Amino acid sequence: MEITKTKRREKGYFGVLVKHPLALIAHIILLLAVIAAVFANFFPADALEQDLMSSLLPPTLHADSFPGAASSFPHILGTDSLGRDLTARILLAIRISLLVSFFSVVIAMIVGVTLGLVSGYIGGAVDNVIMRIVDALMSLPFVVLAIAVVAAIGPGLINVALVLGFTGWVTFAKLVRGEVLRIREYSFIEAANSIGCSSIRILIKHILPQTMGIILVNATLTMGQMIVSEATLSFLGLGVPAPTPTLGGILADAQQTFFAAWWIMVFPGLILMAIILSINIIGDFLRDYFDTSEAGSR
Amino acid sequence: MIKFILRRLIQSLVTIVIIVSVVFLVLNLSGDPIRMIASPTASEADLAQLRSAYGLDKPLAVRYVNYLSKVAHLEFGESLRTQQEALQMVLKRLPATLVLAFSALVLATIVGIPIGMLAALKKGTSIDSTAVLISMIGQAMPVFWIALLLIFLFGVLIPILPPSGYGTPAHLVLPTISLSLFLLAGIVRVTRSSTLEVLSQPFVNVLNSKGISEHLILIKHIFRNASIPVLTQLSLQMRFVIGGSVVVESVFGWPGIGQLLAQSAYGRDYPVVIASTFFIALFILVFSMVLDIFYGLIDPRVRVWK
Repeated sequence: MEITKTKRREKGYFGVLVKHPLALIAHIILLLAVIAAVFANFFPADALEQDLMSSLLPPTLHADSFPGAASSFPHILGTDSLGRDLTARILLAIRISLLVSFFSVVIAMIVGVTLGLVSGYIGGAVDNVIMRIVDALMSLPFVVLAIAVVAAIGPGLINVALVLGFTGWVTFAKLVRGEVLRIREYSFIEAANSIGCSSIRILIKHILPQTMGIILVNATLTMGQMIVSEATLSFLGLGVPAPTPTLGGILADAQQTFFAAWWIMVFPGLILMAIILSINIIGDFLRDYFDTSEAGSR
Repeated sequence: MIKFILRRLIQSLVTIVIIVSVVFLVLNLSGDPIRMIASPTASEADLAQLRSAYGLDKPLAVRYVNYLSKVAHLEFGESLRTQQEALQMVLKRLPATLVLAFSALVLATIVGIPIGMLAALKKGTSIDSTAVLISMIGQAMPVFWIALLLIFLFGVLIPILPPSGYGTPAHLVLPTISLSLFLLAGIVRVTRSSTLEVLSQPFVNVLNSKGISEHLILIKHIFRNASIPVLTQLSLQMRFVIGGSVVVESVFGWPGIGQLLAQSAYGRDYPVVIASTFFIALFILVFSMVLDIFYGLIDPRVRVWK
């Protein structure tokens, strides 16, 4: 995917996007996921209502016919061992997944960008301390770090978003610092300095806008990582606790009914994969669009 | 070279101290750990006694220094659940994790590099696009889902391999495949792009026109030059392999450090959490140091020592 500057200027984002079918499909899948997340509670079946009469029903397009069936809507993706409708659970799980990963990316971005700006602009001992912490945290697996923190503060929806946010800021800090070091050498920064702009003004008004491309690309790729991490934590029972449905949690349940119900294992995984794949493709597309080859080197 | 190793050792020491400090800080920010151990009906006097027993009645700074000196002596204390030494529990599980991580590493490398090179040599063909597509999908599949699918396929549907457990080589197959897939996808991508870069350089043309056989060029010149970014990728991805092994070990009942970490985090068994985290960090640091030395052996240009 080679995107030249002139092309970008002439056609705009969507003009370039329609020329890249893979990226376009990825955008559409992510859009569908967002729509599913927003309107999850308008789905006619309930995600939490148990109905042991309809336990472990395979995917079907016909509504339950026996008297007293809980839902008159067909279990399109089947039901789980407690008779809960899998479609409704997956839709709600997509909402949880996107919410948690979005907020954790926002936290990681705020913390990381701030520390990166400070580190790159002030330099010296401050830079050294921040960068040593970044290196140390980067040498540890993200999941291990998150698990250690969850062990301390306990699982839960908000805790997971906090944990992922406060452990995921390091790539932002590293990338932004590098950009600041590059940009501060330009003469327009010197000019701003010589007409008496304050450091904070230079950082926010002159340097930060230049780093937006790299931040956006890294935010996208980090979002994919956050979705995997949230699912992993929930799968291990260290994430968002039951009865709230999560994609990782549903897959953990699927382990119990391996022999009887393949659908519980297949569909949440497929959805998870489709979302992560789309986000990765969008990240690659954004990287080419903004022409920032350094971003997202995780 | 000695100087280089010494410098790396000091860097690694700083890293370990920072990691250990972060874990200490987090554990202490999260409220009173005594409430987790003590029964909910314990009186204030009981709590105070427990606090002094664990040294929690002292100021934070004193506790931090005590904690650092204990970790430096590898004293992590007893598990809050089993009353065993945390250090012993972790050391006992170290071999299983090493076996799993290294077999995944080897599998990903010996399968990933040829696929990546083949894709680069056949650029633009269907072989190339298939390899690229598979590597993209491989990087988007969560490790635990791969593990579940493999258990379902080869443990339930076509029962030829044990779905979980530890001991025989057959038990190693499914965990290794699940763990290596993410790494393999990354290696295919990197090998492909670095081979393409080497192929575009003029010296390949010169070798070709001198009449040197294709195979010789491929192995002696292209592979050697293309393998540097692959090594970098390995060192970068090692932490994901270890991170993934937490999940894989939990799914397959593989008795390694990863499973121990997940279990002890679930049971809030702090000494064991700290000990496992410590050894995982140590392992990754040693691994990346060894790789750095290895670099210089392969490519004198990037030799970091004089």
